[in-house]
Amino acid sequence: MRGPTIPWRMFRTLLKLRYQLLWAQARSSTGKASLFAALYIFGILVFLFFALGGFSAAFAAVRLGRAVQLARGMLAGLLVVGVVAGLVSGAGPRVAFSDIVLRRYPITSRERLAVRHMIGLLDPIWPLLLAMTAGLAAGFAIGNPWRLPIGLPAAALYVAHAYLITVAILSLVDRLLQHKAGPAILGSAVALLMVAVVLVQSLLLRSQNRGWLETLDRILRFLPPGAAASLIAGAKSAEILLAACALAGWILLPALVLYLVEKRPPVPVRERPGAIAWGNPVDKTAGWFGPGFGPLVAKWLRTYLRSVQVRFGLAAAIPFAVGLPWVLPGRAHDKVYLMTLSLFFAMGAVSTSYGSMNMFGLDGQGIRRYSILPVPFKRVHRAGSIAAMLLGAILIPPALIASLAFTNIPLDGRLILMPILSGVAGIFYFNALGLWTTVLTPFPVDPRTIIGNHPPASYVLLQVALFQPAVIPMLYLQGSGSAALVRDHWWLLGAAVVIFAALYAVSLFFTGRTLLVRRERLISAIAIARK
Amino acid sequence: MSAVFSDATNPAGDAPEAKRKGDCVIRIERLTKKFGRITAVDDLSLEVSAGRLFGFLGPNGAGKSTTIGCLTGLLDPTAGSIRLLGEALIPHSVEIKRRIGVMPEGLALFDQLRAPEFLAFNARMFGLDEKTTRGRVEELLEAMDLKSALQRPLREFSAGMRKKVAFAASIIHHPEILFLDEPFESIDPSATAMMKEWLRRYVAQGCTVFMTSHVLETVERLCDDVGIIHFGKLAWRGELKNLSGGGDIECDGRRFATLEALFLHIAGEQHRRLSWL
Repeated sequence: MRGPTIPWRMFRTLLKLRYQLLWAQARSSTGKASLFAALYIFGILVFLFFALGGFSAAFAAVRLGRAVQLARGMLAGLLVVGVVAGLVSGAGPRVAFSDIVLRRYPITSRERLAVRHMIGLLDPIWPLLLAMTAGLAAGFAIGNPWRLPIGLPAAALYVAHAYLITVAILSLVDRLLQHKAGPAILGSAVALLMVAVVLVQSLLLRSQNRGWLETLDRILRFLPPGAAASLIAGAKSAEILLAACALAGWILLPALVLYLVEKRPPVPVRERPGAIAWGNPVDKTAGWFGPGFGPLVAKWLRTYLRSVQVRFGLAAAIPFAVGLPWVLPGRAHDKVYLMTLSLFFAMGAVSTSYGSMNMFGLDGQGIRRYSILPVPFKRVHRAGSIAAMLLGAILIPPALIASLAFTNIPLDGRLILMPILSGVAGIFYFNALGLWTTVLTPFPVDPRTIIGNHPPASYVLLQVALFQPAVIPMLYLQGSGSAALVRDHWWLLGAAVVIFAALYAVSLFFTGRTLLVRRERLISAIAIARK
Repeated sequence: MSAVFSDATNPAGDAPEAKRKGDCVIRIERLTKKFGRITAVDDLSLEVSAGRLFGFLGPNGAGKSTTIGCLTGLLDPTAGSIRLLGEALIPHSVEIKRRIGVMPEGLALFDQLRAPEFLAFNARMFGLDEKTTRGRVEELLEAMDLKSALQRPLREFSAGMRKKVAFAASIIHHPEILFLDEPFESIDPSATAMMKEWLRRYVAQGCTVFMTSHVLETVERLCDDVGIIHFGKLAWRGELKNLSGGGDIECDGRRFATLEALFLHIAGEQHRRLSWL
């Protein structure tokens, strides 16, 4: 069978266009900030790599006879960084040119596939990862130059694996999100996976069973970082051969998944004819807010509940808040309770934060409609915040029941009340911040996908800065507090509710004024960017 | 025939208190709108009377949509004043917006909502009660042939379907002035014919339409008055009644038998040849 012929001229043109688009993005004000942050982080990584990792660490590890273990650790780190960065940026072939875009040009489906993945592989992140992995391979070849002819191709294969696994995950997530329950399934799965990872880590740290650890070591050898590490730093030829087979398998597996997903056509939307369903629960709930706010609250509730990011957050919140405190290593029960209190603080607000921190971003061109409605813009803003708070608050009762069902510290009224107060305080605090970030750092969001929505650097920096006052006391309590101590000062959480409610009220007032001044800028930041 | 613009009284009590024909309902005085260094609308003055269908024409980038944006509260004017229905738009914008309907450029739809939800949202925001809202939404969706797509979010609608939804949203509260930016573009011929009929009935009730369009034949047949804007300035304004009677219109001392001829005279004819075609 004849393989695809690569239309090189088109490939070069599209590659040039891809980098022109990246450059155009970097020239915008938020792009410049992102580029600066990315270069800064990259600079630190390069410095750390050369100063601590890379050559010197590799050289020292070889001397100490721990070369494979060290290489495994570093490669695992690089894989995680590469895949996470690929997932966040949306990875090459999806962002650059989709199959539908390339269908305009006179090339076959195989050529389209080849061109897409070649352009995808040349997206900045993958050459960067290759440079770092190849540098690691070069470091391990110091003193053993015969390793280089094996190490460098192994580095390339390892990056190819990272690329394929990223693209396969993205395709699977896309397909899952096409289903109505997709975001909820994905959110719960991610939360449970994170809890499971922490649980395994916790069990291993507690375990003194050498047999377990040896079995784990044998398994790790055949996972991608282990196989690549054996190729880059291994000494025995049988070990190298087995590792090569394992790495080839790890490349074929995501490629097969990708092939199967791309081969299967998307599920068509089936129209269900029928009458209009009036008076559903969203309208009834929003009806509590009267004719002035009600329709706006209903609109926002629908916007949030149909955004896959918010649905993902809502689905992940309870398993995360209830499960995580239990699986952290070495936790006494009262520490578990404190951890639960911290997580309740974040749960109700962080789960809806994709909407509440950038409300109008979900509206796209629709943001222009608010200007033609006979209501002040600030009312729309307030309704969006109320809807986010409602959704967050709904999580508190089931999370409380689930948490208390597993606890075995003697409960009294205060210990039951405190998670509720913590949750309510968190909702007021984070939604007060959301009022500001919505107005000051708006950016357009595709509500159909979790991956590839690029918040501007200013948004990320503002969020990180604003989160600190909430995070630091919680960390302090984790370090030195006890359930008894916190219980004796339970009223502090009540005071926190009052303080954060006041902060929320003040934010409502002042962001209303800021909206008046920034209305046109806000609209153009969302609507024109999405045109 | 749909009863959207029927003579029946409005059960929600929001029937427009139509101005007497001939009253000035849109008055723009020395309107200027700048975007940074670019002047999109330059010292524009214009008046439109009640009960008229006014066509606002101009080449691409002439300032039509910017003018509508300023008239409807989407954009804040850099200078000049706007009075709608006898009231100054600033500071009475909320009260005035209740009495006008807008189909803006880009349509401004909420893509996650379904058509009935979107229309009901608009109706409620303009103060219609629940019963009236339901009745009008059902009627509009039926008339616009959108009942087969009740379950789909608006982002999955075709360009024409989206335009129909935006049009329905602009008229659902029976406004006194209707601002329409390119209302017939992408819409199928039967829906276009129905919309034109609705607009004729609407102005016959004393309400006013201010619309932009690039389809000059449609404007010529539908509109009573026309304004042509070029480089942000009003280049011509006049009535079209002579054209319908087989007569002509005058501009710069010349007479034109069609609106297209007049438009090309103002905007400039472009006859450039391509070297390879």
